[in-house]
Amino acid sequence: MIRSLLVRNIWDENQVLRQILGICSLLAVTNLVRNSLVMGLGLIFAVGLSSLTISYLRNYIPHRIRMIVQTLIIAAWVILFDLIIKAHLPEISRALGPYVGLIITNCIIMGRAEAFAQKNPPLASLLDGIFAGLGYMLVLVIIAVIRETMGFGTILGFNVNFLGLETWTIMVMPPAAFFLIGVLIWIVNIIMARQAAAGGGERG
Amino acid sequence: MNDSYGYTIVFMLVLSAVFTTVLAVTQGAYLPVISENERNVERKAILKVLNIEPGPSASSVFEERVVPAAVGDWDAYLAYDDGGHPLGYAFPLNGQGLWGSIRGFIGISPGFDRLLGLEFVEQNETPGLGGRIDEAWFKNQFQGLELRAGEDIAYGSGLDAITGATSSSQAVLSLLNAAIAELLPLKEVVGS
Repeated sequence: MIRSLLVRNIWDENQVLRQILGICSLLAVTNLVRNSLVMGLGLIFAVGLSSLTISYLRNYIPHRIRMIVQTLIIAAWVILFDLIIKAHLPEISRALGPYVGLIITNCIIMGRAEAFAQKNPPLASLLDGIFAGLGYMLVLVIIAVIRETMGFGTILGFNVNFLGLETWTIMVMPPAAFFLIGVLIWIVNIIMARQAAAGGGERG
Repeated sequence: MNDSYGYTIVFMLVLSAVFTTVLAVTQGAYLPVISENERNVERKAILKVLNIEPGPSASSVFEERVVPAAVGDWDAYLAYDDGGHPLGYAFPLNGQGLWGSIRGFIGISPGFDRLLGLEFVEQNETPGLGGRIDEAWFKNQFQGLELRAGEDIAYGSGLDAITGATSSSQAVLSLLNAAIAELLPLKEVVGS
């Protein structure tokens, strides 16, 4: 079960590449690898625990107001995360600034709540949330490595521009993430189409 | 699953009460730590604009070297060196950046003729672009700039704006010039 959840969330149904969710935060934070990592970790924390809580409560939540309830739970966990890093990791909290609060509006969390946690047992929901966050973080880091290398000539702040090439300001700006994510989705689509053609849908 | 109005309302009230309580208690517990962290960020910024090394414990260095001093209407800080001679004043710098408010401090020499340093406590500029106003290379450019009445600081030789972040760079400059224009006439107040 764990393996299939992992494969599904990271590859088959990757939240960013296949479901096209979480794009807004991707555009915003991926110009630096460090911000992408912390954003990814914050999302993993928030989506995992929100899914867990929602799954525990799933049989008690009135159907009509389930989305409000989901939002309330998500917001509570994100505020908690914000408080914890403000108190224990003030430097990182300062670097992230307003991004942490924005995790609340990340569509992936509500997507997992609606699509999975609402119908599945707690442990599976927790893992589903964590893996979905992992799939998101992976894409973020891939885009961030490309953008930071080309835009600043650095990775995680370390200089990698050994040839002294001119850096591209466009890579630092949000539109670059649009181009890159488009190309990445394109590549993944080609690979998936080939897999499906060759294996006849081996993963079902 | 019970979908009656009564149940729905009670459920929402209970859930909100539980989560609000948890968050309120956590925030209450962390409040002293968080505000101490924030004060430390300010202390470090004040020490830095006065070119004093904060070291591992910014608060004790701060207690030792810096005293609050009112200059005109400004809540300033005055620092002394080991011999008891004034090192300079730190003044708060507040205003609008491109995306949000910018808060920080500037250090000015005792004679009000040189800028000692510039530090930010809070800024919400785009990370990687305008956010680079908080990078050392940018802030260090302002160290030692001469201040003359009626003469604004401007980008040009020896002072670079940030590529791709013209508005944020300009915002910092206008904050700085506005503060300096108000501060320079206070030279007489300090002298007496």
